[in-house]
Amino acid sequence: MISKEALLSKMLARWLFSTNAKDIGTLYLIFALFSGMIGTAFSMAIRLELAAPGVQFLQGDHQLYNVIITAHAFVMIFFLVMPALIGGFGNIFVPLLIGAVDMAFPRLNNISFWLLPPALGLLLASSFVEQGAGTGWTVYPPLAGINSHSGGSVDLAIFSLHLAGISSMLGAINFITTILNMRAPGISLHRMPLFAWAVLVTAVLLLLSLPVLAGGITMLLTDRNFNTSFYEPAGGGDLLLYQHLFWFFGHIWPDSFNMNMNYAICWECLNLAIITMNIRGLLIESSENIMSKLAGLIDGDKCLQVSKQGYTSLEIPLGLEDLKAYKPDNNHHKAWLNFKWNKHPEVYILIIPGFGIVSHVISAFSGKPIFGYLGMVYAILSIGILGFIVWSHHLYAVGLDVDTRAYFTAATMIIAVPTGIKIFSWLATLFGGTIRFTTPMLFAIGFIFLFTIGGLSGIILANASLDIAMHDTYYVVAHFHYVLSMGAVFALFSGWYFWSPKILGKPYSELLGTIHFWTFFVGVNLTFMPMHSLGLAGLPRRIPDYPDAFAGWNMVASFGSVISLVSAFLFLYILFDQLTSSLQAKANPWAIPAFFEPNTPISSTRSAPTLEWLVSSPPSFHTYNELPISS
Amino acid sequence: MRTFVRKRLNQPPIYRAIKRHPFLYFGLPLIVPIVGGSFVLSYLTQTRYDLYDNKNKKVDKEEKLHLNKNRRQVNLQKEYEKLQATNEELDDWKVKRVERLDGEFDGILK
Repeated sequence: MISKEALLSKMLARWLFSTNAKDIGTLYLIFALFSGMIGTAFSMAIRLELAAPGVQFLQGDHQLYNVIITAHAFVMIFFLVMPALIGGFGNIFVPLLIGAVDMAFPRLNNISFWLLPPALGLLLASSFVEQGAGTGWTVYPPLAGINSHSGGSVDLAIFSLHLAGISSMLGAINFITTILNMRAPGISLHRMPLFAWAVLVTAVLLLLSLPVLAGGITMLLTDRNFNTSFYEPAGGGDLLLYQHLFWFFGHIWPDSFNMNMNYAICWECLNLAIITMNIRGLLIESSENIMSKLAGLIDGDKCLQVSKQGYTSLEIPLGLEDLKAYKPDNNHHKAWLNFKWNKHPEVYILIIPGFGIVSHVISAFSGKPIFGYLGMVYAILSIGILGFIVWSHHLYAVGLDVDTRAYFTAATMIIAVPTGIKIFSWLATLFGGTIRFTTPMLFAIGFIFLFTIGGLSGIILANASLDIAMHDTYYVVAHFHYVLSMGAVFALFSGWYFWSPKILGKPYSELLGTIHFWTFFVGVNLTFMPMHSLGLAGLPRRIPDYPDAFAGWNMVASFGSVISLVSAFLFLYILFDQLTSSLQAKANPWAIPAFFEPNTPISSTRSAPTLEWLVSSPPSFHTYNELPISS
Repeated sequence: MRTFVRKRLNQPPIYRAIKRHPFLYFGLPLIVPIVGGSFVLSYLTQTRYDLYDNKNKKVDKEEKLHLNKNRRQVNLQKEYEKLQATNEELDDWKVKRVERLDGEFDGILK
């Protein structure tokens, strides 16, 4: 009989000091599940507040609402999707898929995981101290500067990002080393499973982009606390620099900034022949056209009040074709329009592992190898490379010159080409296959369908001219939730149902899994589809109130999110049911029996599309005592 | 369908070399047009803006109203500045004597 103390020390040694990739992967998945529940709670708070016009639950506290928005985004991106897809499935399955015994640097792997819980702690702490970080996940200055967020909460959020970034970078180093050096004989790069390829490309993206983000937020930290002026025009800094640095990391989908113009211009200033505007440090001379539009908004006290909490009809005429750069000259009178701005490999970091998982699932349940393997590999690589040269499509509304906008529009739209290669290859794999509609397959097909919808709205937003109108509206929110909530999360669920019998050694209930898929599918579509209409009608993001005209679709969206919550609880029950099941999963639960099946137990010689299905379920603590050889 | 697939024993060495390296014969030809295309296409996108510029030309008030081009140009800012007396202008003066009438004492002490 083992004593309690001995058991405790054994547990500590196994889980706290773990150097086993499968155990660390399991820890990542548990952590992601925990974070996912927190993120879901935040999303419910958002949707319940938005369920009807006026104040619902947050007592009209717009800052609190923005704190919740920020925490929701951070938790979902950095503590759910990334740990689960890369840390969880990556750690468990990359060594298994390439025939390696473990990761290249097991202790680094341990540190990589254990940096995440303190990062989550810091992020949650940032929501609870002072006024919270109501900056949005992009943490743009000057809103994130010391004048607008004077407490310690933004600093805590920055530290949280630092820790999460270090964790991801260490993980990326580990994955790259493992995949390049520890493949079993016969598994060349061009025969490596697609999930391993996806993790390799993702790791390279992380390694190249995260240091840029870390530099950007460190400069913000010193601006806030040590009087530097990297982002302070008064000290020679440049606000736009932060946006470039952030989106070089986070080029995801055209996200937004609030264009609340809270400033008054006196009538006397308008009488002057030349009005100059300071847009993010760039002095701009107004044209006559702009003058007339400005004059049209003069109100009774002869002051121009251009502040409508995001209802910024004025932002549209600010296309800089009408404006020319103006050299600062003391002889001219200046009227200052201060724009208060709230706010990419990152999206590909989030979605590329999902591409890998979906490829495996589609192939397994179509009974065919994936169509166009090489095309899939190089499409992932192309998406990864293009992801680095399109970051400024988040910055269309800041006043980029025409050439720059033309380039970024073209580059962004061309990402549709490799993405199209992938979608058509998945469809070609399905075509003529023996399709089995299991739960992972349902999620994978749902992924293809809904990710394509998100991709199409992405092409619309890629146009600089259209983005000026859509910017900072719910259209953008709908777009990136179709890509992430229904892209990355559907891939996550698909991967979980596909591989959980392998990880746990226990099957899940197929009936409950199917019900989970359909409730989740209906829930998320009810939530996010109406947001397209709301966005086109002009509903701005990051504001907890709206005119009554938007009430109908918002109510539908909130109802949809309640359905999603029910499906999330159902998933927890499915997990409970699976963990307590007395059934034992086979080594390859998805194998289709051959037409002629021998009676003799020769399963050890049976072939499988990928190596993980040849080991037991769950895999033993140390797999591949002898190196497997791929034929 | 043929039973015996013809296999060439003496493939050219270049063919065998590129067959061994899919990156050369598949990867590079796929990635280069896609990534390079993003740069090339920006010129096409640019034409949209050029077309807009050709169609929409800003007409100032003088052109719109067909005013006489040779008239004196008035710029509100410059007129305003002209009205402002600067220090230099205030200091720019000389004493000038007024001519006296015949027989009148001119005030000069001899």
